Amino acid sequence: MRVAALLALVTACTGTAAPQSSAQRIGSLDDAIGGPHAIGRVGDFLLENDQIRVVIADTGRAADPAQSTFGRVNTTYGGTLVDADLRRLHGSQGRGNDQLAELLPGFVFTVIDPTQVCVPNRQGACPKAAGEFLRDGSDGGPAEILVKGTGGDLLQMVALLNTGLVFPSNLELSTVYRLRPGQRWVEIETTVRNVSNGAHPFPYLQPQQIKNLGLDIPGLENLQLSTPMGMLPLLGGEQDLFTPGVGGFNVQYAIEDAYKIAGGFPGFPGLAADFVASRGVGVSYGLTVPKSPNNYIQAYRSQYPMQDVTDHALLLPFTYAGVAAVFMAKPPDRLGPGEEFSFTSYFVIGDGDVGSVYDTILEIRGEPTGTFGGRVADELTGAPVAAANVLVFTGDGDPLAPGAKIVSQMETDANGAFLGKLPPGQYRFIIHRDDRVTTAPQPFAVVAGEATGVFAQVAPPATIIVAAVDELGRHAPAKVQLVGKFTAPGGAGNPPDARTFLYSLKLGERKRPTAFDGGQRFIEGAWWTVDGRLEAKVRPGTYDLVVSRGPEYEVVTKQVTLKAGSFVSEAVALKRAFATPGWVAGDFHLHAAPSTDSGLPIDQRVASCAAEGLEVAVATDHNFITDYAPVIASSGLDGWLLGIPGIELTTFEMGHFNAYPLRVDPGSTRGGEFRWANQPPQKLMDQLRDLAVDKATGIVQVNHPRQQVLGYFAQFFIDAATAQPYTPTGLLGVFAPYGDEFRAENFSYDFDAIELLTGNHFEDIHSFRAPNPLPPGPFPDPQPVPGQIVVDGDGRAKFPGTVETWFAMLDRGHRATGMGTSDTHGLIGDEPGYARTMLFVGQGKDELGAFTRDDVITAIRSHRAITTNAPLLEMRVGDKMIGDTVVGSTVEVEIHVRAPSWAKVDKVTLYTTGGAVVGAFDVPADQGTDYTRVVTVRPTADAWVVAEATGSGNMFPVLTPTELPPLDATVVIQALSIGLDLGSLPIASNLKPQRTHISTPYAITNPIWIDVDGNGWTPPKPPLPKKTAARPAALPDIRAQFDALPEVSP
Amino acid sequence: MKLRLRCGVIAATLVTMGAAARADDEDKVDATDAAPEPAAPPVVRPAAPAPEKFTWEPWGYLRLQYIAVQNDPNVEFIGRDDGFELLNVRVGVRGTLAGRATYMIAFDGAVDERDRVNVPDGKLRVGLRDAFTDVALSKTMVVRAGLFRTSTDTEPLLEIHRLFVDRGLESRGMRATEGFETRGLTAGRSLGAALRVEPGREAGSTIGFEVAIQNGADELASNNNNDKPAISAALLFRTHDGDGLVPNGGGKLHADLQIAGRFNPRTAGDLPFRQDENDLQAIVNANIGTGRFVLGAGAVFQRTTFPSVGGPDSDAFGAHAQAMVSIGTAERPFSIGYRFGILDPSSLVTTDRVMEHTAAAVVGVPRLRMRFLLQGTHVIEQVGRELSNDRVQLAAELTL
Repeated sequence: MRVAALLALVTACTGTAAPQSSAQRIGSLDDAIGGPHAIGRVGDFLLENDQIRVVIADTGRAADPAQSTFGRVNTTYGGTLVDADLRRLHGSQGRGNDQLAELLPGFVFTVIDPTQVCVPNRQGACPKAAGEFLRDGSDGGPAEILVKGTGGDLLQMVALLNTGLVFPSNLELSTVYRLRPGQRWVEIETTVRNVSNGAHPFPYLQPQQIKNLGLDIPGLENLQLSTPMGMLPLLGGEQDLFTPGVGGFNVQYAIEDAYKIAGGFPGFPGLAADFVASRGVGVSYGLTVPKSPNNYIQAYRSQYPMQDVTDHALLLPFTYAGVAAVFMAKPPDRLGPGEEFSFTSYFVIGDGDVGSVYDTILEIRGEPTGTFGGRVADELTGAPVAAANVLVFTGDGDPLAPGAKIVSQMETDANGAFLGKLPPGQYRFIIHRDDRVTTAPQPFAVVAGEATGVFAQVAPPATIIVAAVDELGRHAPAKVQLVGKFTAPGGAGNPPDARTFLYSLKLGERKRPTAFDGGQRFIEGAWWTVDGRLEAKVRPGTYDLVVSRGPEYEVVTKQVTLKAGSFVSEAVALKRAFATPGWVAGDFHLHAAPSTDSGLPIDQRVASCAAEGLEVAVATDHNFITDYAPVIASSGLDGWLLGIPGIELTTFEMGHFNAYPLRVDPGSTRGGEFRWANQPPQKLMDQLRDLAVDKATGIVQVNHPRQQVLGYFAQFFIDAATAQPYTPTGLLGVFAPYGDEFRAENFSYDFDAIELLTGNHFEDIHSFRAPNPLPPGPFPDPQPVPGQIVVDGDGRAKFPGTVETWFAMLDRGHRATGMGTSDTHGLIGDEPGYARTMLFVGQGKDELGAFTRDDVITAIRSHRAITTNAPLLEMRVGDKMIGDTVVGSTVEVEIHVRAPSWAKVDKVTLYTTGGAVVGAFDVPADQGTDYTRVVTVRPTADAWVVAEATGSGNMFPVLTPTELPPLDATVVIQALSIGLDLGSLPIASNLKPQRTHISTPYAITNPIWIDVDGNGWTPPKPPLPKKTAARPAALPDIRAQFDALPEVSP
Repeated sequence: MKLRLRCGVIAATLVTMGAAARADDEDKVDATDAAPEPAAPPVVRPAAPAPEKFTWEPWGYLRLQYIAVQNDPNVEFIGRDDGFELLNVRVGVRGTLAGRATYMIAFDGAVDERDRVNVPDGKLRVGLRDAFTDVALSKTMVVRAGLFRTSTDTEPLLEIHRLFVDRGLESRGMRATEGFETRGLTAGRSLGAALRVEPGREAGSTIGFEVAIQNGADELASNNNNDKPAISAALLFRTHDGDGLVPNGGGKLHADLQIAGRFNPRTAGDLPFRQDENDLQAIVNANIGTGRFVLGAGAVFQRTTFPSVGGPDSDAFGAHAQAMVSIGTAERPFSIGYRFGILDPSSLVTTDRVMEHTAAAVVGVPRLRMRFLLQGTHVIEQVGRELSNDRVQLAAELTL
């Protein structure tokens, strides 16, 4: 008895308590998760167990609409899963490693606009009184969070699809996030309930009805449509998306390839995948579904020929800018009144590789498995190789051979060890790291319930050691690159597609940019150093060592041969290309880790800025106010770089706006509080000015104004000739955002700066002109004229340029400063400082410490700015400079351009009022680095002049080309058009700006204003209205038209 | 008389504790030291009359070397960090407790800490080296508990003046900057307990043993890395002719033989990916001396299995053999010697074997409690990973 009591006592004292789950509202930020993309805050909901932690955002609603927080998360509404991480030993008090941007259910592109988020009661509803039993896990069962609401549009632009296919007005949408003890996955049960009095069919409308609403596409009436439902994951910039099979880590292009073999409706085109996972540092994510008779892709299996459609198949119709769609469920053909339909998915959290996610997925499925593990060591030193990728695939040969399918990716730990589960079968594996030669494929077999282990050796890397000094002997920040030469195999194209032989996105290898000019050069590696010193491991080979420090320096090139296990040490002295007295270089559009679509740590961002010769770096993360100053200081870059806190206010479809310098609110999880969703432009700009250090002088900048969806001018249909909104017609009108905030009269000119060149988007600078000769037609009317601007049926530029729009604003007296920025989110292939803005801060003040943040802002406000990606293009009239006003009817404009030898200029153009060309001058070949031209201008009325310099040489390797096209809308349209006749529609035309190209020198000045009569400068054209004209009522309002639809009878 | 007896006990203890005591002075982290003087706690006989309740004695030593390693032309982290190095700054205290127990506590201020493998940048830090107590169970048997090293090393069991600056290759491994860094095979210190019987001090042949259970985690680990302890057992045989236990002290024959085994189920890696790995070791060493000559040898064989990740077992082997001759006198001690070492860390790798040929000379300055050691080592890596990494070491030792 005594013994039994003692045993009981010992058990009670030392036994391990059963793990529990819990669900609760966050009462303190210490309860939040923390990490690069953590935005959970007090009032949100924390769902956790002994394995994982996730945060579901509150509704965002408030009794006072002005207090609502729509848009606080990445998408418009609340109620979404915004943070996710493993439970970590030291991860409490907000010190976790959340890298997830957001996860939310999607019904086509309808999302939940939640009215309630809660820990549900026993009945599965939000509690109405205190003391009710709650499903909070305290009973040892699962913990739950319930999100309930109505339908909202993820994007207004696709309202037609949402309303035509889903018609959410009649539906109640809800999601239960359920977490059981001990599990590394969240069960997500999503329910669609018909709350109308009539039957609710899916799709809600037949194609003919949709056509009648304005989507007038020939053949539409003959289609059979469907209503896919699933999840919309925004996995975050740190995460590499993965799908097993043909995709691997090459998901975006695998989806485009799937379009080419799409079987047509009713199955939406896209990639079929057994599961979706990701790879990241320390944490990874995944999505899978149980077997279900409602599996979407299974329901339309015949529409996905030549794709593997498993019992757990998911459909990925697109991934773009970090947003993916994962459709998994097909609703019943109709829901009767009060009926509901549910589908389940599992959100999995892994420890950084795909393998750990796949382990859990196999556990969920309960399928027999064996394990595959082992250790990886360096062939030369015997040391364990950490962070090596072990890629498992099926097939007989190479993982890139036809028929080979990637199964999983496991990453070695610090001991070189890896381990993962696999279904029984025959496999092969390779090991790769970016600094080593990839191993040859090795076969292995997995038997259920057994462990298969290997010991693998990988060839050693080589080591490059570099010490660079500038012209003053200082260890200055510098960029170091290794440039190799490749031999392209036959069929790789011209210029060759490097993805087919130089690296593999499918295997998750790093991109290695090529010169893209028909030559054989490629960048093996690039490093941005804080002090010109580098020691790095690289793949052995013979390379050109290229050291650079931005456009103000020449590049230094030395050939080096790097042998495996050996090192080469080089000392390099940089030479200045030209002096820039009074001018400083700034990049006013930079992203780093706080941006959901950038995984770059801030220390690497500031180092890269300094190494590219920038002197001013403005942090502009998406909806996050960041201050680089502390990291600049800790990196030892105080003497080289000035950081300015800022933000890129990122709306879903109204464009992006930078603002700086801003105050940083340390009490906010995003550096400051603001609201972007459903706001008219003026309110956005007012908020940005309220966040500024000084409301009177803070800068509001319009970013990439001409980019579709992302650009302010594009979304408001700003006419390049008048700088005012116009009413789109045809399909453009159908897909125009419908919200009141998009009404033309809400367009605001209350901005101070415009990006004229963003990154390498040369195609957005000027309105697109038809090539001469024209490519093969046919073309939709009006027929293009070689060499002339391509116009649409209304006579407007079909692809309007930013500069032409800016000229139109200058004509009308709106003086927004033209800026050059990079909009960089990464490093190699996305270099900071290209483009950049040169700002005149005053003679003798262009040394760091001699100029201040106020000098920078003053220079922008004074328009003393040059947009450039290398050349320094100065323009003077006597002692007046860019940004000044001169008086006179005859003025001598002196244009002086200097450039490094790797960015020679070959043409200079002077523009004046109306965008008229005063003169275009070819630069002699021997003057491409230093050229001066004086042009006499005799305006008859007040005018402005702007100089532009261009070159045709390839700036590689300092600046990489745009090799890989962004998501090609034409491919999407072709996939969607099976069964349709798009020949007559403008969207089908292949006459469009070239999206892939080399990077060539470009610079454009801000104006010098010419006051002819000395009575003050008067705009040569009627000033822009404070308020623009109201959009005509004829604008299609899809919602209004649907409201008129009769309810379907049960 | 009591004083003389106590001194005699201490002196005998210093010698007879042999391997364990002197091994306890060793540092398995930098693994380059050689014990300059015995530093074991005194054995206390249970029957000793009216011992003091508590005694203590400070002790310590300092070892400094200047090392010059050939600059390998290909590998940047080998040979480019010649200069002074602190091998040990050991201070401690030892003594008795209530007549039935002894204790030892020692710290080292020159623990070499490196973030990664094969990096030349090490940091010195202070670390606890020994912290144990021996409680006598009988005339010869003690229970040891605390942080200590077991008798599972390959170094000679018995010596006063070790000839070489660093320990045998199989024991210390290959240090960073001297070659491709490789861990030694023998176990370091660990928290645990042991039942010990030392071989006798009297003339003739005697047998001792040690059975130990330890955490088996990293030397500086504060706790075990899994639920499984490391267990070891050692059998010690000693014979000598009664002229004392010092082989080069003018006596006649002296010989030691140790056979040991150790099983250590380890868990490596960080959460959530923790991997079980099991080391099974067999160790043998022998030491024989007569007059001015001493011969020594030791070998360790290790099999590592990987139950978590699977994969082939890995066998490792290391050994050394050495000879020393004492030329000088008691006032001016001077010795020279030669050592051959071999280490093959893994049977899975066909190019990782390393061999060393070391020649050394030692001069003692007893009145200053100092020794000066000079050694040159020719290192031979296996084909496929050849290096130019011969080295010369000049060390000075001061016993506190």
